[in-house]
Amino acid sequence: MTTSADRMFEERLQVALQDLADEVHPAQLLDRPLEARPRPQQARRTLLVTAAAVAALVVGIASAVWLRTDGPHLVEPVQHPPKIFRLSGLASEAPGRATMAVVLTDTTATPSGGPAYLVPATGGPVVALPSSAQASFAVLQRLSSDGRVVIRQNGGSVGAAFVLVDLASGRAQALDDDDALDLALSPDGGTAAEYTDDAVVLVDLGSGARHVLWRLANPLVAPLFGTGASGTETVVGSMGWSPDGSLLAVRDGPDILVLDRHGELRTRLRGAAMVNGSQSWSPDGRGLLVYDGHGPTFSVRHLDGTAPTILRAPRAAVRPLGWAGSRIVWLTGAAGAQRLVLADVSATHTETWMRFDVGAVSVESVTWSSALTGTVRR
Amino acid sequence: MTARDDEVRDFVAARGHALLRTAYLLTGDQQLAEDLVQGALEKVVAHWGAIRVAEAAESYVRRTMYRDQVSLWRRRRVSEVLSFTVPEPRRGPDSRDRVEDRVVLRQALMSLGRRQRTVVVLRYFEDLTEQQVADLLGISVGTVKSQAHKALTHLRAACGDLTPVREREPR
Repeated sequence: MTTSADRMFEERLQVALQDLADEVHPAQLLDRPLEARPRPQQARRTLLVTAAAVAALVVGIASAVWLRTDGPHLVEPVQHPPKIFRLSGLASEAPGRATMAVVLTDTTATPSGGPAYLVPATGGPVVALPSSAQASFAVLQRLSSDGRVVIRQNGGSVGAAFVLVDLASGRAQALDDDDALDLALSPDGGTAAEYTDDAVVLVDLGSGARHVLWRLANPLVAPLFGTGASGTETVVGSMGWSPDGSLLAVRDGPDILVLDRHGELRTRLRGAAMVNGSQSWSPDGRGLLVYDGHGPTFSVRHLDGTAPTILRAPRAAVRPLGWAGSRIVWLTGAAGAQRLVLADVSATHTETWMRFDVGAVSVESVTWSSALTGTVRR
Repeated sequence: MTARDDEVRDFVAARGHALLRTAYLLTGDQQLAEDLVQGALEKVVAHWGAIRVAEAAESYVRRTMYRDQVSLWRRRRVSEVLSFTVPEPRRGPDSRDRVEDRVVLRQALMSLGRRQRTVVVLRYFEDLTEQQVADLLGISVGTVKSQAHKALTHLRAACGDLTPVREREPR
């Protein structure tokens, strides 16, 4: 409730801000080069569009042929998460391969920066992962799809932009690229895709070689924030590798582009909004779970061009998290009573996948490895 | 010099300083403010053909500035020194003056998170509504309210009540 004292302070603040702004000195902004960033030539763009159209046609025909034959056989997850996720109080810098990473909300500040807890692939109690020296304040922590690495995004004013923590050795590899806003690790762990404000860049983690995969057309209209699992604003993923690592889904303005490793546009999903990393891909690589970041309505977009499957989850389901076999997973419930729910793609049959017993603290994000996503045998 | 260069030059001459004032509140530093505006202008130039109407151009530049500033990582490597200690509350209204207000307010603003700082600047410097701020930053109105509330609580703790408006010289 706003009091008269509040209003008085706001009024004084307005004037004080004007005073403070007066401190700035006039600057010769045009003394520095003011050139547009290099953009593809029109001819090259036309060529790319033509090539993309041809590629889409080829993919469409191939998909049609493929669908007529016996399709790949979907294998449900080989492991299951614990029925109840409880904190054990154990911590380890090298807890080994994990099947799931759960990040809790930091109750003292922003939702980001909370601790990450891992479910070891070998079973046993949940283990806390200590913070990395190179990432003083992790705004995002995500398990790689092979379960061997935790990707940390550093929001602190010092340290690397991203840190890759090897869970077997505890060794942390720093990726220090100021322009990177998001990072997705390929399933084989050999390539990092960096999302900058105007391009997607692939980095070979062995050699350090980099190349621009795709120039974004609409970087400025793509807010990177959405409603997080706890209902607060948080960063949402802008990219996700397909299960076999051959394709990368990339957000570009209102669309999601599906690119191959050569930078060819395979599919454009219009109005598809956001993806939630690699676990947004269905295990068979044919669909993407997408959402707009602000509501319980989300959809499965099919790469073969068939109509999207719209899902309307209960109001309490803040956002979808990914796939487990042929079903999708979302997080629901208030802090203290949160749980992961499995649902079929029509969202008519649901069951609880995991309950969180973490006190009154909210779960901010949950990522899991391909052991919980499921695999495909061709 | 092309027609586009002339148009850009005219736009910057007319609106550059106003943009710089906002950028200064967002960054708290002259050089960083210039960088923020310059970066936004570079992006505008890339799209100038589509947005050269001055109002649209300014809106585009401002939106870019706010997004760049709010982005948690975009400029995190800039050697910005944040003060995590709340400045001592001042003794009483008699000792306050505008210079002191500016110093304390700048410190307090810089100790806010980027998002809270941006919300404060948009709400109380740019005088935008909560809905406008939400639309601009791509967040919910509820988040704008909660961020503004937290920021004001922090600023009040840090700055006291600021110098009453009536004690200030006419602007």
